[in-house]
Amino acid sequence: MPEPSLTTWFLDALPAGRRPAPSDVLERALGQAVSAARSAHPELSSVTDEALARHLASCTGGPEELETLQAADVLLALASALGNGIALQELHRRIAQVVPRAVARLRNNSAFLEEVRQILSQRLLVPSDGATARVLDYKGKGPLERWLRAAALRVALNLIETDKSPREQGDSAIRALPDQGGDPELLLLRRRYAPEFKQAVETALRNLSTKERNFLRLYFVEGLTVEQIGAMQGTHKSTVSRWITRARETVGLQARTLLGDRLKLSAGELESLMGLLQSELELSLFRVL
Amino acid sequence: MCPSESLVLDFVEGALEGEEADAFHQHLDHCQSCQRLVAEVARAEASPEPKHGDRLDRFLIVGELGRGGMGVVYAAFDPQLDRKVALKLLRGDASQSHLTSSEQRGRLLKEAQALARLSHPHVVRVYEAREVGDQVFVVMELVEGHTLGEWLRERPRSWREVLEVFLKAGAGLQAAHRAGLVHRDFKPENVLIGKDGRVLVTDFGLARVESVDQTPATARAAAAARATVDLEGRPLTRTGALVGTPAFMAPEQWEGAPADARSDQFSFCVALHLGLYGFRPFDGVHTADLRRAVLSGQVPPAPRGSYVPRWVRRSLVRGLSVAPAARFSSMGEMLSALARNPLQRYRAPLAVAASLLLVASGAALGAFRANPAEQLCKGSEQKLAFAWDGSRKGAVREALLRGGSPFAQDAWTGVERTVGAYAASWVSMHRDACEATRVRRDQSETMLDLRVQCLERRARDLEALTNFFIHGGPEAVEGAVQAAYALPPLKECAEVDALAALVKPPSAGPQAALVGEVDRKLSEVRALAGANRFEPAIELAQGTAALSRTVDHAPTRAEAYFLLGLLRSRRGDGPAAEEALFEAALSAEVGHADRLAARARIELVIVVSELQSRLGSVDAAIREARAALGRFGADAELESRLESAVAVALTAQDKCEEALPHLRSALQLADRAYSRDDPRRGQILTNLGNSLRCTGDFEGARVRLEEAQSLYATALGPSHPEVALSLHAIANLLFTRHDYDGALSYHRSALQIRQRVLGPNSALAAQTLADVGVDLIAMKKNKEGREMVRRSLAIQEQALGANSPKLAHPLLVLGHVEAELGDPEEAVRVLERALGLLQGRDDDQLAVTRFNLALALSQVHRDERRARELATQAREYFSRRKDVRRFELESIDAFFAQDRPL
Repeated sequence: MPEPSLTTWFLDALPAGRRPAPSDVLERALGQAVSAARSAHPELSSVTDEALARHLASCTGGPEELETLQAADVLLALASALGNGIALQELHRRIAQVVPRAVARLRNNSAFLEEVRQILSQRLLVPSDGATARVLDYKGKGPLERWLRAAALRVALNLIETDKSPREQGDSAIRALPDQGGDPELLLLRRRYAPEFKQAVETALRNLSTKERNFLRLYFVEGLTVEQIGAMQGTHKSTVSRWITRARETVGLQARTLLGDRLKLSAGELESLMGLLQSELELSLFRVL
Repeated sequence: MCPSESLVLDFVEGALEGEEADAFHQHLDHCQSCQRLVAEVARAEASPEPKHGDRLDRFLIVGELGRGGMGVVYAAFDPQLDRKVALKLLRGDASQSHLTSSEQRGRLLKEAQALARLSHPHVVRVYEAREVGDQVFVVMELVEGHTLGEWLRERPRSWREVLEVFLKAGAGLQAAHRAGLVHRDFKPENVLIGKDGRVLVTDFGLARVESVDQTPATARAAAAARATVDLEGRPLTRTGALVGTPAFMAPEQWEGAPADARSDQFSFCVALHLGLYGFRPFDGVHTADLRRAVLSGQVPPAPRGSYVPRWVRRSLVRGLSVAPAARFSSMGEMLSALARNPLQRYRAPLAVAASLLLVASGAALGAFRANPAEQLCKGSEQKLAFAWDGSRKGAVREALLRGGSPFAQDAWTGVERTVGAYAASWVSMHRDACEATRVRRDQSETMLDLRVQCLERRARDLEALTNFFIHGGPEAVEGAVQAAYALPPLKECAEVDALAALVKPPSAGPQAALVGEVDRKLSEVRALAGANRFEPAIELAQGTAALSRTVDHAPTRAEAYFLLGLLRSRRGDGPAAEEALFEAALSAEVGHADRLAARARIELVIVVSELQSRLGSVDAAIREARAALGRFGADAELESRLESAVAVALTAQDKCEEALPHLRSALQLADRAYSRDDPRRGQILTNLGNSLRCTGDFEGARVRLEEAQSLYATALGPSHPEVALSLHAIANLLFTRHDYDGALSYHRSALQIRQRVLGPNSALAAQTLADVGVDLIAMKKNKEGREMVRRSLAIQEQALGANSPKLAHPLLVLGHVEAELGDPEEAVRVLERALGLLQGRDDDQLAVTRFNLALALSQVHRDERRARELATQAREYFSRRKDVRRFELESIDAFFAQDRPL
């Protein structure tokens, strides 16, 4: 029986298939992570080295990842999950700080912010169905605040979603329609062909790849910038921009063909209809996506 | 099962690859919630918040001040203008689609720009609104201090303190409402109290821009939230502007209706209730309960033992009405109801000045301490800057010209010249005081201190005056130039012997603070009094005098009582004035404030002489005054005042002849004491003219009165009411001399000024119109004159009401002219009406009316008995004043001498 060490605990916590060989490098990386966590939170001594080392194993695979790990925040999350009073207090403080920053722009209302804060605290700390507390989902990649922000946003979005009555949800697309200035011809066309047009766009969208559809959504529906989408793809924004233009054209062309087939319109008629409905395309994308 | 937060973060970062990425995309394609989450996380990741040292546009971030629903507020430095500012970064509303975001930013910008145009002492100044990328931010005045909420929690406050602060904040709201801006989220956390004591409302109107999403449905959804919430939104720091903070929201806001100025009024009253009683009028553990409480309109009764006066509570409860229409029609109306207490009413505008004073004097003291000794003789201008510098000058100019008063330009010219000269002489005296000790070394440190302290007091007087100009509203314009001339003379601060003799004020401790407090209040009193605002001045003076009784420094006490006495005397409250002036004189003598003692004694002469029952003591008063002046030494100004006082005393005894030499010598002394254009010289000239007229020297009188008139026109501007008044004096003089043409032309000039300045429908202009009519009638242009008088009567009826005793004069003239024109019936009718209006009076006018009615009645041979009765009453009155009313008496005797049947 070897002397229990950080490495033995760490390796023991990993599933057999993923265990690296014990090494000095690993021991050193573990030692550094643990002492970084300890010096940041000396008050959390109720958490044993063993518990910390075992938890670190669930956060990371090897020594390289250990080096960039936010060990102090991991310790805080672990201690909170274990019910350490000081850690809980600190976590609550950080949640209270993060929530308004993250969520206020979704809805400016103290009651709402407070509700998000409470639900988030509950979700992170109260284990459901015998599972571990969700705060342990934080794996130390990036600061805890960043992770809390994402979690807060999720809670907030869910709340907003449940708030909306079905009627409201149905209305939202209609309310989003900009006032077209009441051009009677356009209004008539829109009323007559809108269902067909919508269907045509839907079909055309289905022909895109999942990825294309997702990014088109993020761009048109969620209003992300090409720069932000570029970051997700690891590409430059001009690439994203070109790509979105192309996807939109594809959808437009396909929708037009589909519409021509379905309505049995002549080329000329279709042309003038498309001309009038051009402005509708973007709108339809918005509604259909 | 949705991907974990860690995965979402990885995806947004572009850290997912291969299968993991594909699986994520697959899920995203079908999960709308995750699409939104990815978008929001991406947005949050993409806009890292500025930290200390970062640059935002041209601004250098210094630190974070607070954050709230509206966005984050940073302290920043503006290198371009070399000042610290607060930057508020406004967040766009992400729950709206991107389709509206640029439009929304535009609206934010527009709103902020509207705010930037609003400049008010009780509104946090917004300098500009800027847009960088898709970020809108507002550059604001940086207010160091704390929120009203913190101030209220700090320690228990008296209702007076609380009301005073709220009245200021309310004035800020009112100004915004006038500019068409609604706050929409007024609460104690949105009112800042600066370290300097200023009260400023912040986060104006911006609330609405953010609240477009706040439909009734979402408001109700929020209201239904299970959670117990911090209804005051307290943790959200001083800048936390939650839209429509539930605890302070008006019923209509709960109902989802648009908020207007009256909603602000409601929120204001909720906050005021909290301030006055320590709890909010509506409460609930859950927002739903709160909503119910607000909509019920049930304001809880005032707690037992509350000192809050009833008028305050009444106004408060009205502001909390559920129906907006049941509240006050405007913030202004409510504020004046809240400040209904006469003391409060006048203190509200003054309190502004008081707090500014506190700041400024503190700053001045700080400046003195901070300066090493050798620097002291430089920068005297800066020492006065808090009272008068380029920017204050600009502010005064703007304030005076703002109301568009017809003589505003003249007022400004006069103020600029007078105050400019005062400031220049202050600066040179300040420098001289310093150089005498530091450079020439012929003066002690102690004397330097005394002189500087004296000058500081005068600087505060100047500051109080300029504050009054800036905040005094349109009424400040009329008395502006006289007020500037009435600044206390600076030469006292150079009178080394007198300063040395003065009993020293306590140098430290609560007594020193008390002296400072009394001093500051006296500066305000002087500013108000100088501008003829006697009512508020006397209110403040009374309180200050009472306060000064607790001060262990006789000269300070003397000063307070002197001002009080002076004001009471101006208001004609003789006995009370005498009492105060006597106290002032005694205190001044005890404190070796010899000049003040002399001044008090001189004013006593005037007061005592006007108390006719005590004529005997006038001589004694004059003797005392001379003695006091003798102790003080030669002083042309005081001697001139004493001579005037003696003349006033003699005139009160109808000894015009004897008054004349005193007035002449007063004028000679005034020529030495004042500049030629000083309005106080004008007063002496007018007195002299009136005395000359009284002695029958009409030509001499006319010369003096015209001199006075041209002096006023030069000093105060040709359209000033004082000029109209002196034109009247000349016209009346000419009328007495039967020079009706001359009288008519002067009356017409006066009429022109009054009509232009006051408007053709003002009662005062109408009175002059009647005078023009009288002139015409005297010239036998009866019909033309009657027309004027009728017009005058109509205007005055309109302006003053049909029962005003002031109508008696035009009616009397009308009665006379109707009789002249051969319609005695009409004359009787008109004169009966005049008589009815004069019920209960016992004066010249009543007697003249009675006699005229007697004449008219006998003319129509109607009621001879009543005619004789009226004539007898008139005779009885005039015989009491036979020395001055001989002519009237003789006329009545002639009436009786006519042989008429009984």
